[in-house]
Amino acid sequence: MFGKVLAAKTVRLIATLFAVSLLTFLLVEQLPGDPILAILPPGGLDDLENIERIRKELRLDDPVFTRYFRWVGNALQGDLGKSYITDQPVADAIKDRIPVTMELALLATLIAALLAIPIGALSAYREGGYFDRAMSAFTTAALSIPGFLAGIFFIWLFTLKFNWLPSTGWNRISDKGLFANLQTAILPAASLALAPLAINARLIRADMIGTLKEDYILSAKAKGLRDRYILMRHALRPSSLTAITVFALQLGGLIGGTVVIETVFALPGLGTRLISGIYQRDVMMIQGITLFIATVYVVVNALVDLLYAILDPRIRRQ
Amino acid sequence: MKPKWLKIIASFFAIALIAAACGGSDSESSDSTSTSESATESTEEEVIESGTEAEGDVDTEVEEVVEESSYGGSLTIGLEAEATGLRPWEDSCSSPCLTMIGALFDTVTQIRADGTVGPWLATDWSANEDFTEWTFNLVEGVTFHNGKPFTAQTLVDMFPLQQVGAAAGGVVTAAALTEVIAVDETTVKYVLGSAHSAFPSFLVQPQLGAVFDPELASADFDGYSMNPVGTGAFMMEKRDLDNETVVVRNPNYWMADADGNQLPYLDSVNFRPIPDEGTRLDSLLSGTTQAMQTLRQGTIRDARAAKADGADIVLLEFQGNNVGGGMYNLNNPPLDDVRVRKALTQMNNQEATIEALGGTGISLPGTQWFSPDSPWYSEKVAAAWPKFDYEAGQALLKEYIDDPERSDGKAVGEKIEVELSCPPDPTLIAAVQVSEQLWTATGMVDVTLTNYDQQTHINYALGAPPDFQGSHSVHCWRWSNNLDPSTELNRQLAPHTLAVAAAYGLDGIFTPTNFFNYFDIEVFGALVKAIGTDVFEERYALYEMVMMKFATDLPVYYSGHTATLLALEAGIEGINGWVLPDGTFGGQGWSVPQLNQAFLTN
Repeated sequence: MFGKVLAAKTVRLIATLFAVSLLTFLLVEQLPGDPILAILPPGGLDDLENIERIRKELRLDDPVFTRYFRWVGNALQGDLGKSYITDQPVADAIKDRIPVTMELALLATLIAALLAIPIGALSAYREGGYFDRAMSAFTTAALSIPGFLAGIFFIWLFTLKFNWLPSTGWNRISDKGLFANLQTAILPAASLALAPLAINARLIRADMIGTLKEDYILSAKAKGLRDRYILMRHALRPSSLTAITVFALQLGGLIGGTVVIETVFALPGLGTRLISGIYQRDVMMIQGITLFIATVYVVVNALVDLLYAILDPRIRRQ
Repeated sequence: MKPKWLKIIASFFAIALIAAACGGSDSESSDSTSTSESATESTEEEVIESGTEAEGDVDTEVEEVVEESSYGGSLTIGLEAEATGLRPWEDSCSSPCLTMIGALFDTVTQIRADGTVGPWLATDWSANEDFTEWTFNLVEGVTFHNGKPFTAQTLVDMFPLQQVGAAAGGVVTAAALTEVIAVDETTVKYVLGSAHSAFPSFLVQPQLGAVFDPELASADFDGYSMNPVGTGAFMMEKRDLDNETVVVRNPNYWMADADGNQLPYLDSVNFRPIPDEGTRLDSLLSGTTQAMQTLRQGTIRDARAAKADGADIVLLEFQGNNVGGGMYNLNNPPLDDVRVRKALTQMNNQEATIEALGGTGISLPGTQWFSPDSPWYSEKVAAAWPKFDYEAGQALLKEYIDDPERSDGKAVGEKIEVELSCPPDPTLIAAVQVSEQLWTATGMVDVTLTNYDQQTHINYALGAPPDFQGSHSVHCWRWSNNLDPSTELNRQLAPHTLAVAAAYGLDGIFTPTNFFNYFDIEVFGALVKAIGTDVFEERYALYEMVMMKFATDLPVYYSGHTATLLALEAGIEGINGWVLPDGTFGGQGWSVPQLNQAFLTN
């Protein structure tokens, strides 16, 4: 039975990725103008022979679908092509940048989890109390504030005001160690964490309010167990399933969501490269990074679906 | 009893909220709220002050360095973007890339502060009578970062790569450069296919003038971008794309200061791309970086405000020969009719546009491709340029729409249609909205505003090969540079189609970069004549005539000159007032710092 589920999910995954790749390719293709012209400075446009030479060299004179299938075929072998502008292989650009984006997404998820769990649990425990109301206001605010705006605020507060942290740049762990790395990672990660933090705090709160009304909680209370023990040992675990699922989905989303934050904090991640690729009309880079982000998102979603199927037999039967 | 960790969390939020709400009096200069308030106040003051100055000079004066130089130290510079590549002959380059290339490579010639061309790797030069052969004498004893000697043969070996280089190919064509010959070890001859009296100006440009190791570039074409080897004052230490590029002192650099001390003074320079304008300025103000560049008038205004609020920074501002505005596509009716172009130009309020761009008191209104401190600037052209005259513009437009022979084929009295397009930058959009509102208010113009990313914007104007006839209507644009006028004008005002060329007996002469699709045989003749003489007065008169034709034929309209800024932490010297080997001041502009004479005083 599980094998069938797995097979069905895999087919759907492949179909989705095929659609994403085709859509990405065609959308970029639809941009007006000639990609060759983006490679050349204005002075270079006067040299028509040069333009044609470059076009042939990059095989841009082939029909659209020939180019698409060549690109997809190469992508399946791990070759996403070479940037027209910088000559850098797209796969190398992704490999260089994914640690930054991944670290940001993971750190943001960690910050969100570390804060969402106590906030959600305590809000549920003190339902309707001052803390609950204050946190309700906080989560509403956190959801309303776009991450880049929070980033600008954090730069003002922690860099300009207190001068505690650098406003821009990225210290690689391999170069400068973990502490220096965290100094540059914490503000962008915190900016990214705001929305997932708010969503998950609310989810945990809502689930936990239900859990706290279960008979076994009343029974634990009747046994005289301490509140904190009941909350963390008996109530939190069953109340976290939804949040854990959402965290997993958010991780995929965060990889794409770092685009703006990386630009604000000038970080060398995938988002920055994608943005500069768009500005430079670097077709191969745009296609490659978009496909990569979409693949991560789709694969994470599929894994979560499979996890559900493993955990819940009812889903397997559907 | 509340748990302890709850109190900790509550305290954290309380501290954050209090900190956000309050601002210490001693640090208000860096408080974004107070910065923004002060920015308003200060800008208003600047407007008044610069309003008087607007007709005069808003450039920072180039001054002799009086501080005693010292060795050591490092500088972190916030750049507008990452360089697309560091191969001067291959990669398209703007300010950030030029900044890095300037540190790593030397050019054959260099631009002076007065706009003339001076020596750098070439000590002096001469031309034959018809300006088709140029002989340059080179500095002796120069070596590349890898220890190889730089000789005349290096320039010869570079040429094949430059001929097919994506960046250099066009410059080679524009200069009509056909051959490079090594006369001896330190003498090189450039042979041109046609006369060009301003050829040394092409060797200021990194595409053709920057000296690279041709052997290494051929052996590792792609890798050269990451590990470039030049003869420049600094050598590549680390290239971490989109994060930081670190260059370190070249211990064997050929240049010395006036006292014989070997350059450069700095141990290293760290280039950090920070695309967001606000963050780049904040990084300077917080000390994360020690210098930054910008071409945005809004950022210049904010930097001025921060300085007025007490920030210990030095602002080096330059207008340069670059002017912004819009161009009319003369292939696209009704813009083929000069009455329409003149009407739209007269109804475009330059001062309001500059204000929308955030450039009041920062950017001078443009009347030509040259700024007032350029040797090519003409008062006559400035006087002839159509001034804002809404009623006169309306009358001209009325004349066109009531003309039964109107070129757009519409019925008499029907509104004209124009598409006004700009890249999606908030200040540019605000600026074109000024024009849109003024033109629409006449009741005679239907304006469609469009925004496309920079490259698509350019592509629309360029059109597709082989004809290159753009489909644009009224298009935001920038023109000109600090080099010789021929480097831009001759390229952009050649025939825009082969048919046009043939009609004037100029078979085969054609340029895709005549974006306005404007051709005037008199103008073209003047431009050709201007590169056939090196007598400044003659050339000045010819370029003045070209700009006068622009003022009457109006293929373009102007907003303001492009103001640029280099903002430095106090205590950085030698960036303003750097000198060429002959002791003359080097040119500034485009917010590209020359770093080989920079030093720290603290």
